[in-house]
Amino acid sequence: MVRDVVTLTPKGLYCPAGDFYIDPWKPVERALITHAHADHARPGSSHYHAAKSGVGLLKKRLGQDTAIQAHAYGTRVPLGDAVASFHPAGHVLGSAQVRIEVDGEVWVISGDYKCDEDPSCETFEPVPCDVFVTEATFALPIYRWDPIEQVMRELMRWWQANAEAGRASVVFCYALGKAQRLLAEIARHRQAADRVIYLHGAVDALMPAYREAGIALPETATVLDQPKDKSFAGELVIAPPSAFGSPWMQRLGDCGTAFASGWMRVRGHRRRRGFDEGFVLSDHADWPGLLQTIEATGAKKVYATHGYSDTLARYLKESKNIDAEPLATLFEGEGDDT
Amino acid sequence: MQRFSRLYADLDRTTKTNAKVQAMVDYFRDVPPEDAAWAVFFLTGQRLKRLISGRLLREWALNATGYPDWLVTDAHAAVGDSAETVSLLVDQGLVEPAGAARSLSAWMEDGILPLRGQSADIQERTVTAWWNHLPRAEIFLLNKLLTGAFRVGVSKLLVVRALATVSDLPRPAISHRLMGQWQPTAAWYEKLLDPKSADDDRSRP
Repeated sequence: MVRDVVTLTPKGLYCPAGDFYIDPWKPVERALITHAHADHARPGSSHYHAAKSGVGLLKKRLGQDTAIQAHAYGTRVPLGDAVASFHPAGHVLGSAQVRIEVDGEVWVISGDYKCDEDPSCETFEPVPCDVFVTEATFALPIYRWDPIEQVMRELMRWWQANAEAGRASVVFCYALGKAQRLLAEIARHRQAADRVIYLHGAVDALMPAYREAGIALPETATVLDQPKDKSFAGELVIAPPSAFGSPWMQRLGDCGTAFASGWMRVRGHRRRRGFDEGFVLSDHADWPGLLQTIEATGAKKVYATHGYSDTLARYLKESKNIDAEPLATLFEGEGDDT
Repeated sequence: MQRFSRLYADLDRTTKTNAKVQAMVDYFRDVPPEDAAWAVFFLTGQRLKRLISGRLLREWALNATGYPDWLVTDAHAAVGDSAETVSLLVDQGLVEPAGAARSLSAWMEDGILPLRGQSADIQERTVTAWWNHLPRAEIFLLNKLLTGAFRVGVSKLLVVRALATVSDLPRPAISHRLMGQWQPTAAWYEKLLDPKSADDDRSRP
């Protein structure tokens, strides 16, 4: 990537023409941030740019005093000799792909993205480009997501079965994004009407940003704020994976546990984690989603990063006749423990 | 096979022995004796001789999907099991079987066992057609049965407990009747649970 629109440097992906970084992993002068997950939004840079609807979450992560310039999706932002813009990535609230144009050549850095509709964030839009830097977290043909309605039906049935057995139901998932997507989906179900959903503190802390953005969510309350004699039998609780097996769970009494993640598609992942149930629910594109997106961008060159980047690059090259290569970054995708 | 697939999922998702026994009790009460007989056969750890190798199954998946060889190898490396890899690759996203559902015994006797001795070509065409009509969980089970690798996480003792609950017979009687050679038929299963069929118990010490 010599003299390219974007190059890979020790601090991260860098655009020399605009003198800015995209999701740098070290402090820099000017950083464009795709979304608020910790492996993409790191503190310490002097100036940040991000999509407008993601600023609330970013400030929660980077500090309320952080200087962040907010941009509406699609707005052209001149930076040096480059023009940058943010476009919906469908990953979490305010997540964006970064489009960079220099001398008529267009590069798009996808950040993390998913193609499925999600009531808790803006829907992904493919952006035509010459060069596409795509994530590859689930770039194997075994990863294909069932429709969300089906996953939610399974989850609701599981909740009901636990309730009938006098147990609480605890779903473990990413505190940022996945938890709110789950809540927004739950809000669509009649079974959950007028129900309070209980949250771990780490999930609760991110709720104001979603509520302020006007996302329709059910009523929520934190587990630890409940009176000592409150029974959680029959209730649904959402918590980050790090809370699994922690003393925090003792407060819930008898409970069924589930993990919501794309990794749950594989039985071995499900069993190793020790949860009772696994729901296949990911905020990343599945194999068909990745391929459709790459095709829709019309990119002549594709760089694949994190996850199964080697597999995706080889498949694109050998089976789709697209110039592609893996790119080694420090992004983690859907890690097992975040 | 849908009901057996649900039993498998119930057994797979819990480590609690009481829940496993209850899942088996519910199953045995739900299904006709010819299906229960086959379920006892598999739950007690008996296995069919391998019909199809994992490698052959992957080769058929390759032909069915058109994916390159190396990609199926990568997928297999990520999953670690041929039957599961193939079920994930050929999955059409069905929630219910397309067409008429077949019971476990019908699958065994009219589907799987007659494959033995067929040419590889007919075996491939038959199995590939099954894949197109089944939901993923059932493709997985079918593949496991075909490769003779079907295992389920229950001990024989738990199966005996479940059968004793269903039949109201003492556990040693069930345990004794399960010994030796037997064929998984409806008649055998009915005898297994028959309170009056004490003839084979006489020899019990």
